[in-house]
Order: sequence, then structure tokens, then C-alpha cells
Amino acid sequence: LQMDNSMSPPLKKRKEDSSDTDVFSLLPDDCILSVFSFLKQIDLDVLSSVSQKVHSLVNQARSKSSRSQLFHSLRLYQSCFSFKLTMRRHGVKLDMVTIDTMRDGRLMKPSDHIAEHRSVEALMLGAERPPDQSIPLAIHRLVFFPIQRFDIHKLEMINITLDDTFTEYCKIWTGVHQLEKLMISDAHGETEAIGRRSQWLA
Amino acid sequence: RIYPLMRVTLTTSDGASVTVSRQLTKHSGFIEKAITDMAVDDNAVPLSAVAVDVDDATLKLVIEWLTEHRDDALPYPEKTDEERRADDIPAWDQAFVQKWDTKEDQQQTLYAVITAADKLDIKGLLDMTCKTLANKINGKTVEEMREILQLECDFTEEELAEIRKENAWCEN
Repeated sequence: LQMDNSMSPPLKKRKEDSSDTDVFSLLPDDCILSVFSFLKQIDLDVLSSVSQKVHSLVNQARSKSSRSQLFHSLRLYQSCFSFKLTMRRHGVKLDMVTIDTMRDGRLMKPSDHIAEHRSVEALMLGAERPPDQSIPLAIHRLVFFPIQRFDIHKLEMINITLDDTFTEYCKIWTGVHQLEKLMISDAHGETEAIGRRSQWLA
Repeated sequence: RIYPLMRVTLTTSDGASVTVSRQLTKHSGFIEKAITDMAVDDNAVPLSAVAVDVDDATLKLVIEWLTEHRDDALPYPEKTDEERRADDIPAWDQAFVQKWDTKEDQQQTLYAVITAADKLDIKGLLDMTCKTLANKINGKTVEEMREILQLECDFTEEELAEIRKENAWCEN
């Protein structure tokens, strides 16, 4: 009992101290967003773990914060077995990052690559191609992360069935006016792809 | 058209009154709008009274900054997201802010001036103070940021793990 009594007051005091001095949360949200807009994306990543309020404001501030020039183009391709995300710099074909995931968004292991080659082989021998699927949440995250942090000017989505939420998010984060190239195609062919593109760019 | 000799009396939230030149208040969108809304003739009424929701001590700091920046060009140049940077604070402004660091409540002073600049719509001062706060947290760890902002972690362990997972996208 004595130990409990001796330990509880400091905890209580710490709580009181923090509520007394939490003047940051009293700043208008616009001012906090303005402060965050001067931070780099990497600092916003760290900041997002500070508190719940800061976390929600960081997500709003990301679009104002300057983005890394490390990558300028992003391509998401759906094969019959996997998703492939490729990021490149402008004009530098070899300087790229490629991420392969299973259709559920799980990163591919070497055995998955072998299985993919086997399924491609089976397709060539006449097996039926599995239908393209809508983008799972894990792939949404995989795409949103670079879109938020890198200055993406070219966005290509091949064999991707777009849903409106995903399209809207990409539109906001890439900034349509900055896009030099937008290419979307899905399993239904070019007509819908052009329609989608026009709708997006409008 | 601004008449530099015109004086404006500002009444603070704690009841103090400060009279300043219109040359200074022209940088405040809020005060300029208040004077315009009064529809006073600059020549006929040389003294206007505007109530500002800022305390006396903070308003004095704001006026000190406005005095130094009285000749700054208006309107304040808007910068694109790409042009926004925090490392271009003029030397006088840096010294001005560092003076508060000798005070016990330096952070509160900074927050008070940020809020005042926002309320009075003084874009240059708001930009400068926001940059100052951004520079304080730039490059710091989560714990250091919490200490600077005087915030307590209100996440559960599970929520923190989820955020770390999202942000560690390219590390895993």
C-alpha cells in the first residue's frame, strides 16, 4: 500500500502539468497547418506519432508540404497473379524501385515469384486468366505512400479497375495540373480508359 | 490610399489602448477591414478606434515587428507550396524571436504571437512565427517533438504500432 501511495502522486501531477501547458492545442488549426506546411514529409512522418490531434492535422498538411524529388513517375500494373509498383526518376530508366506484391497486398517472397512464373506458363498453355480485381486496401496504401511523399508527375495504372475513392485520392494528391502523363487502362479496354481519363482531367 | 499621418487607436482584450500610425496597421488585413467597415474619411477623421482580440503584451510585440517591417511591400507575396521554406527568416526577425527565449514562457509567447498574427491577418508575421516553430521541431525525434510542443501521447500501443507500420512503408 505504501508503495502505491508513493507512486501515484507523481503520475497525477504529470497529467496536471501537461494539461496546464498544452497551449499548442489551443492554436487555431489553420496556424498549426501553416507550421506543419514548412516541414519535410519525413518530419511529418515522425510528427504523426506525437498525439491524435497532431496525427489528424499532419494528414491534412501533407499536401502543402514540399515533396521529395527522388521519384517522379509511378506505375501500378496488375498481372494475373500480382501487383507491380514501379517508381522512377525523370529520364533515368535504370534508377528505379520496383515492389512486387501478391494480389492481397502481401510482399512477394522468392517462392511467390516462382509460383507466378508457373502460372504464366500455365496461361501460355491455355489456362484461363483470372479476372482483374479491384485494388485491395493494402495496395491503396502502397500507392498512397509515394503519392503523398514524392513529386509524382507521371501516373500509369495498367489493368487496374478503378474505384471512385481511389481515383479521387490520387487526383487530390498528385495534383492534376502537375501531371504530365496519366495513363489508366483496365481489362475492359481503351474506351473506358479514355473516358476515365477525361473525367479525371476535367 | 493610405495616409501615413493617420493614427489608429487599438483597444486590447485586457482593456489597454495603443495608438499607432496607419502606416503600421496597413499590414493588418483585420484592422484595415475594420477601418474600411467604419467608412471613415481618412482626412476628416484622423483617429479611429479598433478593438483587437489580443492582449496588451502580445500587441506590443506585434507593433514592434510592424515597426521594423513598416516599409515591406504589400500585398504580402504568396508563395507556392514548392517555394515555401523555413530557413529564410531575416536576421532581425530571428533576433526578435530569440529575445523571447530568455523568458520562462517563451513557447507561450510564440503561440500568442502566432495567434495574434492570425487574428489580425498579418501574413508576414504569421509566416515568420510559423517558420520559427517549424524550425524548432524540424529533424527532432517523436519524444523531442512532444517535449517542445508540450504534448502528451494519447495513442494506445496498438495505434502507435499501426502508425509506425504506415510510415515505415519503405523500410520493411
